[in-house]
Amino acid sequence: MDAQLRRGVLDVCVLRSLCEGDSYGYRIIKDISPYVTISESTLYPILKRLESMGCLTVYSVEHSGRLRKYYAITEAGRERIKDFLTEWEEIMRAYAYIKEGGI
Amino acid sequence: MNKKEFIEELCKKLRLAPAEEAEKTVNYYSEAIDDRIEDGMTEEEAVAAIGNIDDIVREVIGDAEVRENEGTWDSDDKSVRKNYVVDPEGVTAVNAAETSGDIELARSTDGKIHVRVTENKFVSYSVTKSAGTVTVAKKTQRGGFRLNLGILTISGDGIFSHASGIRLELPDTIAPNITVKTGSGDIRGTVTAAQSLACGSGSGDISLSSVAAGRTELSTASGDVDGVDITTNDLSVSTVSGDIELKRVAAIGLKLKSVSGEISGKEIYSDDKLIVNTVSGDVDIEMASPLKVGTVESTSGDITLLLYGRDEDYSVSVRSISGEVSAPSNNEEAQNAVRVRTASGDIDVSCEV
Repeated sequence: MDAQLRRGVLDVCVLRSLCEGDSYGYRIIKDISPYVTISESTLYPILKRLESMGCLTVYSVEHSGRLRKYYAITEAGRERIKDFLTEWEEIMRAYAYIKEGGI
Repeated sequence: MNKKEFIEELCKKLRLAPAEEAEKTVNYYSEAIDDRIEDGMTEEEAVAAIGNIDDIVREVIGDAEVRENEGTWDSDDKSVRKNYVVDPEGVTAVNAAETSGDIELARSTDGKIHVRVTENKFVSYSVTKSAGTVTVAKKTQRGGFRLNLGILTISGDGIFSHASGIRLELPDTIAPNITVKTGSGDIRGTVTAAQSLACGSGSGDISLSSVAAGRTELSTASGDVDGVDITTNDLSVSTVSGDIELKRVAAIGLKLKSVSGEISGKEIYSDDKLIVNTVSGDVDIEMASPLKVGTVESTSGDITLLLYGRDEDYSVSVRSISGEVSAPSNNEEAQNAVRVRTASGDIDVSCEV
């Protein structure tokens, strides 16, 4: 996948994984791995970027004697998901068209 | 790799990043490893699942080998102070050149090379690292005055100066060949470890303390040279009209030269040779270790030389044409030979243990 495109898709997948509730790094990876290839070293910069864009917030919770960082989606984050779905409607139509070509 | 090794290596490679970034990154990955272990993976599996350290580091700091911190603007003297942070890995040489600004040499306390420069409207620097050589150079002055008053701002804008300058902070972990040159600026500071140190100035003074270098060469035209606590293999100091003043210097060989400047040395340790040459300056040297070979020559200057040892240890040959001479008698069989010559100056050589 094109790097830029891939990054955009991964960003939104991460946001989606937070829709049903706040989550943390390792669990995010487990949740989206069935759908996309992602490693911890790829996830970290995505989380940093999404935070700087205001799409999520971070907070710490004590867990087994250490601090675990939790991420929560924001209103702006949900907007970003909606924008993605709208953008991709066109891509899906194009996909169907290309597939029809029968290659 | 286990968690401790992973974290240590990650920390080491993140040393160029801002401290806060580095800390956040290490915490994130430490947590990622802990979460996987808690989930049932072994420590080795957890570390392997995290990914490649170089990839992680590249994301944080990019490939920069020289990182410039934001300049801080000083509105009083209209100058910008910048701090270039350079990775010391693989650095074998450091070159800095100034014109009227000073160059200061210091010890870095955080393991990185810092090149701190003071820039203003007309003066800026370029700091580059290439093939193991860090080069600090002044970029061409952008028009305007080349006046450098060095004291006050004259008005809100227009002519101003606060001497521009370079401060080189080097960590103990490297011993590069250091070459610094100035025109009228001074060179001063301390060098903890250098393969070689060469300082050259036109009219500026050279003032160094606590220097440990393989070979040291200090030269100025009209500036003075003063060195305290210098340990080196070979020391060569030369001035034209400036004075040379050395204290607690240990070198295998010493070569001190001036035209009209005075040369003085206290507590000089030499294992091998001392060569001193002046035209009209006076020479006053006190040795603190036995000399194998000494040659002290002047045309009109007076020479006072205190040798370490007993009279019988040295074969002293002195001659002055019109001056007064006082020296121990020449013990021709002695191993150590000292030769003192002046035309019109006085000579006073003595031995002391």
